[in-house]
Amino acid sequence: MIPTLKTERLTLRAPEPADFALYRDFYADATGSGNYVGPLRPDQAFQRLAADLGHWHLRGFGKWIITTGDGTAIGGCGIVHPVGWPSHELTWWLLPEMRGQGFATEASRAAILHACDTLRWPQVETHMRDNNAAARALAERLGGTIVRRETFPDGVTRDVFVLPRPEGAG
Amino acid sequence: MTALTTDRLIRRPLVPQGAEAFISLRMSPPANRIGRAASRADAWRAFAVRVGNRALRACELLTIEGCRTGAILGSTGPWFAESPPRQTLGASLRSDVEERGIATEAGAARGQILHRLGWQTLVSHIAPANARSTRRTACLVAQAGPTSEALRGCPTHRYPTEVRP
Repeated sequence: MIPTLKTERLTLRAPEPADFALYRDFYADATGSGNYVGPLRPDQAFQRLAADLGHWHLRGFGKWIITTGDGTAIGGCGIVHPVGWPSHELTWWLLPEMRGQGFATEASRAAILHACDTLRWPQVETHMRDNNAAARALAERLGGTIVRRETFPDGVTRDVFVLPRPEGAG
Repeated sequence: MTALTTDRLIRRPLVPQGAEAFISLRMSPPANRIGRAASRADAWRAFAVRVGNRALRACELLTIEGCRTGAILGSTGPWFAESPPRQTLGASLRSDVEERGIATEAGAARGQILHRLGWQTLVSHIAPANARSTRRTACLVAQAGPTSEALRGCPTHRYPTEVRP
């Protein structure tokens, strides 16, 4: 039910029980997970994994696990839209030592293509807190443009970007 | 897991269409329950956690429905956490059905849970202020566990392990 996507360097696959180690390690690091509601205890990290998998079953889309060529799991990427939240969001996360190599951009392009070509969505959006410079830079690298500023149910006002279908793909 | 049926209740696996009933249950009073959700998004995330847990752990939360009306009255089922005490039995009911013995009847599923999952132990955690759940759990002959097993201030109630369906 959850499709597998391939890019030049990466595979995006369904979350599975063994990915708990990735979630546990990522959320144990307060600095690396600070923009992702971290740090979290191991049992809370397990609930994040369960919620990410449950999202696929309930919505038909969600976050994949990103793996490198040798199968090592390095983070996650996908599109989420929790009930009670006004819009969907392209989202990504990487272990700190895996950042700065273009993996988030490469995985994000594959996720956007899946939304445009398989789900037939007219557009993909993302949003982030004003102080999340890394997410903002990635949205701009993906060709995103700010289309509105919106206050979300958590009380935080964020810029909302629309991300175009990647050029030269498919 | 297939549906479990008693005279009054049907217990069956969560389905996506049950999300709204679960959200409403999760956000309803009393506030002394563990895990009461503060927002629709939090309540839906809790639902997604349970759906995902089914795929990860093969342990399944069940909705409790009334046989006569088909209304969803609550949910019950096992939870396999990443930290001790790992194997727990949870139950939550709509506040307007708390006093009708429904929870006790639903909790009687614990025998099937132990048997089907092959678990050796089963506990519940109940907030000290939640007198109804404490009373109900006492009816299920759960014994209060050692204080060291309390979860965030909520004492452990240990079920006897010889129970079989």
